[in-house]
Amino acid sequence: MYKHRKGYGPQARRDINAVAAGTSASGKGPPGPDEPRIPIAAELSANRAALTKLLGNPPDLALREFAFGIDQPVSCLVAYIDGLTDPAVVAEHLIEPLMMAPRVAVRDTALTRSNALDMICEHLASVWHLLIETDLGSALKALLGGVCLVFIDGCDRCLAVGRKEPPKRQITTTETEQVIRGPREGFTETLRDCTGLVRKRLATPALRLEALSLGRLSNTAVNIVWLQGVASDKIVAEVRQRLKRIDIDGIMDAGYIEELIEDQPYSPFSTVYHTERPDAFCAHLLEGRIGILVDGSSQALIVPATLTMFFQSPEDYYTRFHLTILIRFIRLLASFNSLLLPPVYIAATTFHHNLIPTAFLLSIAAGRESVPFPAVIEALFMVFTFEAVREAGVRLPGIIGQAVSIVGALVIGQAVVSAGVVSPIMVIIIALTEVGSFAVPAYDMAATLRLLRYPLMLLAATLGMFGIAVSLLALLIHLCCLRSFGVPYLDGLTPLTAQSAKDVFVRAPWPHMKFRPRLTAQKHPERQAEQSGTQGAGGGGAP
Amino acid sequence: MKRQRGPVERISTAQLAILSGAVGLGTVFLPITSIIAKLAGSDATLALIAAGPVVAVVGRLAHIAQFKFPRQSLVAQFELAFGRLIGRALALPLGLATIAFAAGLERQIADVYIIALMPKTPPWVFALAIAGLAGALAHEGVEALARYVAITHPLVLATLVILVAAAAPLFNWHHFLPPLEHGLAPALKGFARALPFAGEVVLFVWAILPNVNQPRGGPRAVTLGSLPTIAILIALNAATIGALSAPETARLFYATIDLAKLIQIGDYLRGLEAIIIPVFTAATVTKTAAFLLAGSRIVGDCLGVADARPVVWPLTLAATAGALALTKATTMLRFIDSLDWYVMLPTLFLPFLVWPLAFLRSKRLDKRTVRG
Repeated sequence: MYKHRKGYGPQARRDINAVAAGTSASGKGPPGPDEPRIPIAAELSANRAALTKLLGNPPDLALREFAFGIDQPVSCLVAYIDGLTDPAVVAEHLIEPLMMAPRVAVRDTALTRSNALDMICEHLASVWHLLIETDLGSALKALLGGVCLVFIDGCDRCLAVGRKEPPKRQITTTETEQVIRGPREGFTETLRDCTGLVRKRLATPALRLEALSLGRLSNTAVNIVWLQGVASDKIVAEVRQRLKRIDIDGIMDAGYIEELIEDQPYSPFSTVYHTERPDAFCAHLLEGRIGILVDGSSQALIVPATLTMFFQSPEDYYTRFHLTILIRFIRLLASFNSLLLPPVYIAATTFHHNLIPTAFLLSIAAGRESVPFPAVIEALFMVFTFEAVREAGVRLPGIIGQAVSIVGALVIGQAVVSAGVVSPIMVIIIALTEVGSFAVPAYDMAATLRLLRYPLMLLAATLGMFGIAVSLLALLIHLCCLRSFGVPYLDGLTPLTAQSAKDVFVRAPWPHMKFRPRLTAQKHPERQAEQSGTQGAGGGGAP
Repeated sequence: MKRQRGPVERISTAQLAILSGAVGLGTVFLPITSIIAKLAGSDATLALIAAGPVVAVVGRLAHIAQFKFPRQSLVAQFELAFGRLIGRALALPLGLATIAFAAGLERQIADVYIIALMPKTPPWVFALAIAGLAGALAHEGVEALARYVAITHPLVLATLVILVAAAAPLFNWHHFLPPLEHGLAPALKGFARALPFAGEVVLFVWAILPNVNQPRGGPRAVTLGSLPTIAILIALNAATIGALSAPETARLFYATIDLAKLIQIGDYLRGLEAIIIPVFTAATVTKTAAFLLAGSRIVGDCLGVADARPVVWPLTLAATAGALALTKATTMLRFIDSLDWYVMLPTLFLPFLVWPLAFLRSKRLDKRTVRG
């Protein structure tokens, strides 16, 4: 029903002015997703003026006004944001059919102002996505989302045509989680590409996707992904609830959401796992976990997360289990090195000389003879230097980054020893420590270990082995208390059951991994059928 | 943003087994060798071998006795047995004594560190560090404690096994000969002195039994969990006396540390006293937290506090301050010794007193209810 209201009334004009000034119509801050509630005017010039005013007359706002129809020409206004919407699609699928409309007989119905909108919807616009908007605020939101708006003269509704096709990058190899054996594809910043990669691997109707829009100003599309019948309904509900509680102006990356939904945001340990790999993402879904995909971020979030996940690599499940066991052992050792090597060295050289074999002690003493600083100062100096070189290498462009690394490794390493600032053994200790931190597969966990190294070094320097013991126990107690979406952070490690032990320190052969994790996949814990993968044991083969 | 907890689980019987073993071992492995050697001389190991099965059997019987009241707290059982007022009045000193015992342990441990590692460091540094860790663990409750000991207890056991194995070259059979040289009396004294340690375990497990998933499996779990503890204590005692001799062991406060200092295999395996410090700290935190948890629950129940968490920190800090006020280590040792004799030993037999009374009273109440 058309009201034929000519332009915007006084209240609507006040609302438009308020929004254009950067405050909501209600005067409670920036406009939210549901604001402003301004009915669309019937007059084209009023709508044109309103759009221009609301958006601040931006240079990328494309407006085209034309008339179509022969007997009763109908004026219309097409608006879209250049760069978000493809002009060729607008011209081919919208403007051209409208201009050709008078020459096309549509069930002998004449095109008039009163039926123009319905005619376009039903017969003329050859696009997939089509929506009628009655509210200028919603229409504006759609416009900024990459949709083309069509206003008809004399009609207080408008058409939102087409869909967002923003610039995006191709699906490429992941750079942060590389493997030798396994798929190479990585998530991109485009949500639909990510969901497509997931659907490709899990072609089952049990795969559930739930859409949310987060961020008052960014309106970021977020999808909760889980496997119905595998994931716990309680945890899915908890994830949904925590996401819905987020009230922030914008979401620029999944990292925002990660901190907003964590159980303990102040903990140095991350209780949300993230990955760029679709295969790892799907493997976690198969274990009953819940994924969160965020538009604009190539990092997918996985919850609930447990400590052991951060020390496992997707490749562990693709290579032979013998090798995986060895690699996991080396990884664990490297992680301990990363955390404990400098503190133990400091404690041993400062307080517990009798721990060190005599020959080695003499060697250390000879190396430290010319060094004027205590071991803790040496260690802190080297660690800080290494962190600075690392940070510089990351921020600088590739070739310069490599040069900085060479300067760090050769010049600083060699020079500080020659100058007597640090002892040669300390250089070795720090090198082993940093190599250890690179062996941890999850960047978050490696960073956490690096961070925790500093208080441990200071405590080792003041209280020796007691300081190390106390700080390690404090960490352990903290880990015992941590939960991720109700699941204990140490699940799998404690209580260590026969089933959980198969995928913690070692990785059992696939035929023996019959069950999913206990707490995440409570409904259907069976991963494999009883007979699955057992033909080898009985010497099976061709009859 | 307020967080909500998801699925919460009670501890399993397997966790109870490890927990009771860990609490049983606790810090006992440091002083027990000397304490028993003082009383039983070279027959100390025999005394422990005799005490071990008794402790296991009594502990098991104590837990069997609680089948009737699987989900009831210790204070609730006291109330059932003696009535609300008297029951609480009797349970409250027990809870306070348990807290005092925990604080005494902190002070004692501080002395161990000062003697063994850092003579110049003031004791409050060690005592407060342990109190902080144990308080935090007790505050988090039995589930966190169970997770903690599931990781630390195997490490403690493994380190003690390595210590005993490394002491093997120092072992001298002649330190045990002749057996029962002065008759049975010294061995019996040592045997009796070992029993209060079982009382400690009984008290703790009694306090946490309502948290066990399947209480019926509790006694078996406690027995199984206690066996490695009893075995390692006997082995450690034998290794210490075998290496140092009984008179020398009796002379020392913490003979296990001296044994660790003595061990040297080649030029590489030595200085074990510094290596066992992390392990010893872990065991200390286990035992102190266990007692703080048990004591806080008892005190909390007596005061009518539904959740014992709010009382954990005030009690821990007050008790630690009290323990630090006793500056002399020997005073503290005497204090702990008297707690062992006068509180923990009677505690071992408490279930056998409380349970029949509570059972009879509950029967009487049932009859009244039926008549009513």
